[in-house]
Amino acid sequence: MQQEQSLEKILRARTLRRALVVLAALSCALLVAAAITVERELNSQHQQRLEQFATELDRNLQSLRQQVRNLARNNLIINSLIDYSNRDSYLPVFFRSLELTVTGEISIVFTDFQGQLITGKNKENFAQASASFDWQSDVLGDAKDFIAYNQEGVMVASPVLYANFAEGAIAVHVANLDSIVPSSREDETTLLVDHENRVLYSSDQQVITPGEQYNATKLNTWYISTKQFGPSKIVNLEPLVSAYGEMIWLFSSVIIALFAVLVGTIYAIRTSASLAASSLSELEHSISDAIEHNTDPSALTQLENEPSEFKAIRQSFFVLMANLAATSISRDKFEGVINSLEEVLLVVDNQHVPLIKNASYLSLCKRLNLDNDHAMQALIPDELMQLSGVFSLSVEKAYSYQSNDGQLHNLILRWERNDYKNAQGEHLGYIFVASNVTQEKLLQSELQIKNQAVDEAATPIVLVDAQKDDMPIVYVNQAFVEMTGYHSTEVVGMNCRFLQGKDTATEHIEELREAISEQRSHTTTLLNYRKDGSPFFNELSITPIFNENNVLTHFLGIQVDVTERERSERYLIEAKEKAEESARLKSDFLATMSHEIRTPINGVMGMLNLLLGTDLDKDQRHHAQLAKSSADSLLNIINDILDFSKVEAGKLTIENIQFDLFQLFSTCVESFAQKAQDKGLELVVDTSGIHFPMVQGDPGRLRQVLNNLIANAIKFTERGDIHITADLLRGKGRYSRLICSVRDTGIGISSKQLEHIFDVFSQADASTTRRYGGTGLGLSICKQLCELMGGVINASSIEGKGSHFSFEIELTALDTPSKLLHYTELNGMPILVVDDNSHTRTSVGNQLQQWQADVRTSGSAREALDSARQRTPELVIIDQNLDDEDGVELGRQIKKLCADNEPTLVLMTDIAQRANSPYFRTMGFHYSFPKPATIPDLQHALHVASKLVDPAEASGESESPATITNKTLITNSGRKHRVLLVEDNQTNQLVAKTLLEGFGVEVDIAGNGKEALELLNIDKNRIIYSVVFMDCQMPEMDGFECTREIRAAHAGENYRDIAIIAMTANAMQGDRERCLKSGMSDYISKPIDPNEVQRKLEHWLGLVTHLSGDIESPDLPQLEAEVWNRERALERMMKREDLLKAVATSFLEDLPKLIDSLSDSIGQDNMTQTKYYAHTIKGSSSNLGGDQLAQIALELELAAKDGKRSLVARHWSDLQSAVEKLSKLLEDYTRSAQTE
Amino acid sequence: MIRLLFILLLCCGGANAQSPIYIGLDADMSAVAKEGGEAIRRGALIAIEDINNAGGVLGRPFELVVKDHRGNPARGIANMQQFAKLEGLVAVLGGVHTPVALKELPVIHENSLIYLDPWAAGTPIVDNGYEPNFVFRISVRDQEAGKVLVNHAKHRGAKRIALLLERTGWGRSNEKSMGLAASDLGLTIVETQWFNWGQQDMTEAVENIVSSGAQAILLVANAPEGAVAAQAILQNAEARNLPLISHWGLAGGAFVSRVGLPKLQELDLAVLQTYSFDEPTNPTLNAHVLERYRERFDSSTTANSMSGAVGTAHAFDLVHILAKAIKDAGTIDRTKVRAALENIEAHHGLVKHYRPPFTVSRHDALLAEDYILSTYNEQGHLIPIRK
Repeated sequence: MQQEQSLEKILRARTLRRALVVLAALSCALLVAAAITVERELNSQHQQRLEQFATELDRNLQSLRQQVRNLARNNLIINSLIDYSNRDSYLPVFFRSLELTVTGEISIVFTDFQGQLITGKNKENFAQASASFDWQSDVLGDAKDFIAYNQEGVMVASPVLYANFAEGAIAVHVANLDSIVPSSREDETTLLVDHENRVLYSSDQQVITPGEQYNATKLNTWYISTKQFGPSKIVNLEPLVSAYGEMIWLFSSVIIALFAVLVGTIYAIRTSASLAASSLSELEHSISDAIEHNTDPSALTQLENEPSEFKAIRQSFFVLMANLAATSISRDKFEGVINSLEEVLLVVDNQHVPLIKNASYLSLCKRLNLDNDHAMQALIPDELMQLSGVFSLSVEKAYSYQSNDGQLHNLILRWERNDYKNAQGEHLGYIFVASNVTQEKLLQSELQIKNQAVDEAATPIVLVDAQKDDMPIVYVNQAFVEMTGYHSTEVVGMNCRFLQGKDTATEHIEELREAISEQRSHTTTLLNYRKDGSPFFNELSITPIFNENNVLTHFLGIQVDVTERERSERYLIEAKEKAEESARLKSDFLATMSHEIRTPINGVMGMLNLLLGTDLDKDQRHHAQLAKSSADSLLNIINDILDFSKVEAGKLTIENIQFDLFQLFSTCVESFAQKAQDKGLELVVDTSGIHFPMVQGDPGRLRQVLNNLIANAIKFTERGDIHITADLLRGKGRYSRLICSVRDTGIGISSKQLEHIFDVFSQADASTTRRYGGTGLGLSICKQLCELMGGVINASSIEGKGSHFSFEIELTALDTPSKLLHYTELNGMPILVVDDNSHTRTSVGNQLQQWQADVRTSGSAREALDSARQRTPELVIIDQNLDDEDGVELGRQIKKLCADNEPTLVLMTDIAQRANSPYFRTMGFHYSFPKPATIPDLQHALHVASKLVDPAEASGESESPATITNKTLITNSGRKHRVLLVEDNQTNQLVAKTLLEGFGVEVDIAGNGKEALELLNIDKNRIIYSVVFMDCQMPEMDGFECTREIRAAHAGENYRDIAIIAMTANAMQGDRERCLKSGMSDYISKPIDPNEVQRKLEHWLGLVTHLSGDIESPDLPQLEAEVWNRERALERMMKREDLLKAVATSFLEDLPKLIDSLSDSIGQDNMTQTKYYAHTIKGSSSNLGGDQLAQIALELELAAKDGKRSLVARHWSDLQSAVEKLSKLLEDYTRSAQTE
Repeated sequence: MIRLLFILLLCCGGANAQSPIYIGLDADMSAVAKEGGEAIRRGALIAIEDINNAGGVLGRPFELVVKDHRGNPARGIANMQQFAKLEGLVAVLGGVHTPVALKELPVIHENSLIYLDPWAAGTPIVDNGYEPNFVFRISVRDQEAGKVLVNHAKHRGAKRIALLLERTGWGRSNEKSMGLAASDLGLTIVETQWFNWGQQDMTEAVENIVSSGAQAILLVANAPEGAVAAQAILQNAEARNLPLISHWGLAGGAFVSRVGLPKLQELDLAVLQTYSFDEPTNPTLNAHVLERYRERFDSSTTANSMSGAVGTAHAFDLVHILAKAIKDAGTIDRTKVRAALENIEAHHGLVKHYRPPFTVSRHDALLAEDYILSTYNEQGHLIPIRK
C-alpha cells in the first residue's frame, strides 16, 4: 500500500523539476537572440542617423533653392529685365540688402538671358566660383533650376521666367559647405565624400580633413556606415568601443534577470501548493459546521479569500436546501387572475347554482341594478339557460341602463357557454363568459350605411385591387353599370382596360399608368366605349387607398361622362383654326395686292416725273403736277393700308441699325418746312435734350411716326406754331428712351374723340375725314409702331386750343460722336438770339447753351438792341420776320451799334428765301438759313462765327443734297459707270433708265434673268457693269434665281461679287430678307425714289455728288500731281513750255491708237503684244510726267509678262480710267496753249 | 582682259539682280504678344508677295527675316546687332513692345538701321532726339492716344479719371500724354496706379482707384496684365460699373481667351484702334488684303475677326511705303532710303491715303484723327464703336 502523501508535497515535487528544465533552455535561447538584436539595432541606428543627416542636408539645399527661385519669380526682377529705367539705381541696393537663411560667404547675382552680369552681391567672388559649375546651359538654355556642390562650395541658380522662357537668371554661390551641412553627434564623425572618394566635408578634421582621399580599410577601429546622396555619399564613423558598449551591458542584464526568474519560480510553486492544501481543508470545515449546526446558509458567504470554485460548491448546497423548502401556488393568486378578467365570468353547477362569480360579473349586476339572487336569470339569455347538453353556444343580448347623470345607455353582450369538466372528463356544470360588443355593433351599422351610399351614388365608382398584378376590379356601383351597360358580374375580376378602344389616346393611358405606378392621384379624360360599342368621353379620377401600414391596397376610380363638354371644346378649336386660316389668306392677298398696285403706280409716278422734266407750258405743268400730287396721295394711302395690314398680320418687324438722331430730326422737320410756311405756321424743333445723338434702332419707323404726327399737326392747325421737342434719357448701360412730343395750336380734339383717337379708321369724327382727308389709319399705325419699338404714344388736347401728342420708344445709345457736331464747346461765346416766337427762341437758346455758349434771347428788335448795347455779342441770330421790325433792318442796326467789334450776323429766313442768300450777304449777314433752325443749321452758323470758312462757302453747304434732284454724278476716275437694269415692265424700264442716266451712268436693259445672264456673259475678260438693278418678279427667270446664278459664277468669275440691288414692288415685310438671302446686296422699293437711287449709287459705286462746298472734297491739285506731274515734265523739257505743249499734243494724237492696239491684243489674249503695247505706253507717258498712267502700264506689262490674265484685266480697267484722266488734263493744257 | 572684266561685272550684276533685299522683323513671336508679332508678319508677307509678284523692287525680290525678341529688350538689342551684320538688309519692322524699341534706339542709330514701327506706341520711340532719325511709324502715338482716350472718358461723362499703367517706358509715356490731355480737357486725374510685368493680382490697385472716386479707368497694358486688371475690375462691385478705356495693348495678345467671352461682355470696355477691315477706307485694297490673308493664312477670317488686324494693316502699308522709298532712292543704301522715306509725296494705302506719309519733321504717319475706339462684340472680335 502506497504511503499517503499530502497535496502540498505532490504539487511541489511534480512542478519544480519541470520548471527548472524549461528555464535552462530559455536562458540559452535568450542570450543568442540578444546578440543578434544588438547587432541589428546598431546597424539600424546608424542608417537612421545617416537618413536624418541626408534629409537635413537635402532640406537645406532645397531651402536655398527655394529662396533663389522666389527671388527669380519676383515681379520686380522680371519687370527690370523689360524696363531698364532706374534699374541701375534700385537693383544694386536691392541685392546688397538681400539676406539668405544660409550663413557664411555668399554671392548672389542677377544675369541677363546670355548670362551677362546685371548686378549682384559679392559679384567679384562669383565670377571665379561660377567657373567650376556648369549652370548656364541648364538655367538659361533649358529654363531649369540648377543645384550642385563641390570643394568650391554650393551653387544654386534659377531662371527668371517670362512666358515660360528664361529671360535672365538669379545665381547664388555659398563658398563654405559647412554652412549648409547639418551638425553631427559628438561621439561620431560624419563625412561627405564625392564620386571620386574625395572628402568634401568632415565634421571632425582630426579624424580626416576635407580634400583627403577616403579609404574604408584604413579605418579599422571604427564602426562605418555609408549612404548614397546623389552623386556623392555620406559616411558615418563611430568608435567600435562606443558602438558595442551596449551589447556587454545587455548580456549582464539578461543573466541577472534569469536568476531572478529562477528564485521567483521556486517560491511561487511552494506558496501555491500550501495555499491549495489549506483552502481545501477550510471548505471541508465550513460545510461540516453548517450541516452540524443547521446555520443560515447566507452566513457561509462571509468567508474571506475563498477561491470562486469553493464558493460555487457552497452555493449549490444552498440552492438544494431552498428547493426543498418551496411550496405550491396560493389560492389568492388564482382569485386575482379571475377578477382581473374584463369579461364577465360565471361558473355554475349542473343545477345552475353559481360556483364562481368574478368582479366584472358583480360590477355588471350593479350597473344594471340587478338583485344578486335574480341577476343570473335576467342576465343570461334564455336560450343558454334552457338548452342543456354538452356543447358550446354563443348568443348576443342587449341591455339598457341609466348612468349616474341620468343618460340612457345601450349595452350588448355576447354570451358564450362552455362545459365545466374535471380532469376525468366528468361534467360538473357550465362556464358562462360574456364580452362587451356594443362598439363593434355600432361600427357594423355605420359601414352598412356607407356601402349603401356608394352603391346608390349617381357617380360611377370603381374599386380595383392594387395588390394583384393585373389590378382587377373588385367593385363597381350601380351608376357604373348604368353608364357602361356592363353588369357588375361581368366586370369584377377584369382590368379596367376593357373600356378602352381603338381611338383612346395612348398618351392619356400612359399618364394614367405612370400615376398608378407612382401611387398618386390623377385625373384625365379618356375616350371609352360602352358595352354596346358607343364611345363616350370619360373623365376619370383615380385615388390610391393605403392601409394602416401605408401599403397600397386599392385604387378608387370615380368617373364622369363628359362627352358633351368635349364636343363643345372641339367645336371652339375648329372655329379658331378657321379664323386664323382666313387671316392668313387675307395677309397673302394683301401681299399680292401690294405688288399688283405698286407696279402700275410706279409707272404712273415715274412717267409723271419724266414728264415734269420736259418742256411743258404752264397749264400742262399744272396738270402734271396735280396728277403727281394725286398719285403721291394714293401711294400714301396704299402705304398706310399695307403698314396696317402688316401690323395686323404681325409681320412688321423693327430694324436695329445705327443712325444719327440729329440728322433724322433735321431732315424730318426740313421736309415739312415748306408746308408749314405755306400755312403761315412756325415750325420749331428742340433737340437740346439729346446728348447722345448716335443711337441704334429703326430710323425708318421713327421717321414714320414723326412724319405722321407733324403732318397731322400741320393739317389741323390754321395759325400759331408746331413745337417739336425730343429728349433722350439714358438708362443703365446703353438702353435709352427717346421721349418726343409734338404740340400744335390747332382745332384740338374733344375728350370723347380723344378716347378713340388711336383706334382703327378713326379720325376725330367722320366730318373731319371729309374735311381733311386721310385714311384714318395713321395714328393707329403710329400707336402700333411705338409699341413695337418698346414704347407708348399718348395724346392730350384742349378743344379749340391745340393738341399734344407725345411718344416714347426704346433705343440703344452709342458713344460715337455725331458726324454733324463740330462745335460743342463754345467756352462762353456771347450769342444773341432774336425771335418773336418764344418757342424758337428757347429751342435755339437751349441748344447753344448746352454747347456752353453764353446765350441771351430777345423777343423783339427793341430788346435786342438793348441787349447788344449792354454786351457786344460775337454772334447774333435774327429771325427775318420780327413783330416790330424787319430782321434785316435789325441786323443793320446791330452792326452799326457794335461797329468796333462787329459780331457775326446770321439770319433765319422763310424757306422761300433760300435762294436769296447772296442778297442777304450784301445786306451784311454772314450766313442765312431757312427756318426751322436745326442742328446742322446752328453748326454752320457757328462755323461761320468761328471765322473758319468763307460765308459764301457756308451758304453753299446749307443746300441740303436731299433737296436737289436729278443732278449729275461723276465717278472718282471720271469714267462713266455702266449698270445693268433687269426689268420686264416696259414703263418701268423707261422710268429707271431715264432716272439712272440722269445720274451720269450708262444703262443696259435685260428683260428677264436669262437675258441678264447672257449680257453678263458676253465678254468674260472684261468687267463692263459696275452694278445690277434687279426686279424680282419676271417671266422666264426671276430676280432671285438670276442672283443665285450670278453668285454661283454662272455669269463669270468677274461678276461673282458684283453689287446687285433689288428694285421691287414687293414691299411687304420679309421681302428685303428674301432678296438679301438670295444673295442680293441691297434693296430699293418701288415706286423708285430718285433720292434713294442716288444714295445707293453713291454707296455702291463710291460716286460723289457734283456739288461745291463739300468740306471733305478731295485736294484737287494733289490728285492732279499724281495723274500728271507737270513740273517734272517741264524740267525734262528744259523748262520750255512750247516744247512740252508740242510733245503733249503729239502724245494725245498717238495715245488712242496705242490704247486700241492694247485693247485688241488683250481681247485676242496675246500676252506678248499686250506686254509690248503696255511697255510703249509706260515709256511715253513717263516722259510726259504721266506718273499714274506709267505706273499702271508697268504693272500691266509685268502681269502680261507673267501671263496673269486676271491681273491684266484688273490693270486694264485701271489703265483706261488713268488714260481718261491724263488725257483730260493734257487736253486742257494744250487748249489753253492755243488760246494764249 | 577688258572682256573678262566685263563678263565678271555682268555676273556680279546678274547675281545682284537675283539676290533678295532683306526686311527684318524683330518682334515677340512666342511670348505674351505673339499674336501681335504674327499679325505684323502676315501683313508684311502679304505686301512682300504683292511686290514680288509685280517684279520686286529694283528688280530684286523682298525677303522677310524674322527674329524673336520675346518682349525682352536685351534679346531685341542682340537681334538688331545681328540684323546690322546682314548683307542686303534695308529695314527692320518692329513689334508690339515699346520698352524693347526704346532700348534698341542706340543700336538702330549706330548702325543706321531703318526701323519701321507698325505697333509700339511710345511717343519717345519716334521723338528720340537722334539726328537723322531712322525711326518711322505707322501706328498709334501715345501722345495722340492720350488725347483720344481722355476725350472718350470725357465724352462718357467722366470728370475724375484714374490711370492704371504698366511700370515701363510705355506706361510712363502714357502717364505724361494722358496728364497733358486731361489738363487740356479739364479733367482731373485722381489716382495713378502702376503694375509690374508678370503681376498676378491687381485687387489693391483697383480698390485704390475705387476709393479715389474716379468715374472712368484708363488702362495701359498688354494682354496678360490687361486680363489680370480686367479680372480685378470685374471682382470689384463698384469698379465693374466704371467705363474701362484701354490703350490698344490688349489687342496684341490673347486678352479675350484670358478673360473669357462671358466675362468680357460684363465689361464696359473701349479699346483704341486705328483700323478695322469692317470699315475700309480703300475698299479695293481692303478686299484684296483680306482675300490674300484668307488664302495665305486663315480661310475662316472675316472682316472683323482678324487677330491683331491693326498690326497686319500697318505692316502692309509700311512695306509698300518702304518699296516706294527704295524705288525713289534707286538704291538700298539705308541712308538714302531713309531720306527718300521723308520725301514720298503720297501713298494710297490700306489704312488711309497718306499725303504724305512722312516728312522731315513728322515720322508718325497716323495722328489722333486717324484713331477709332472699338469694343469687343459677342464673338470677342473688335468692332468700331463709331459707325
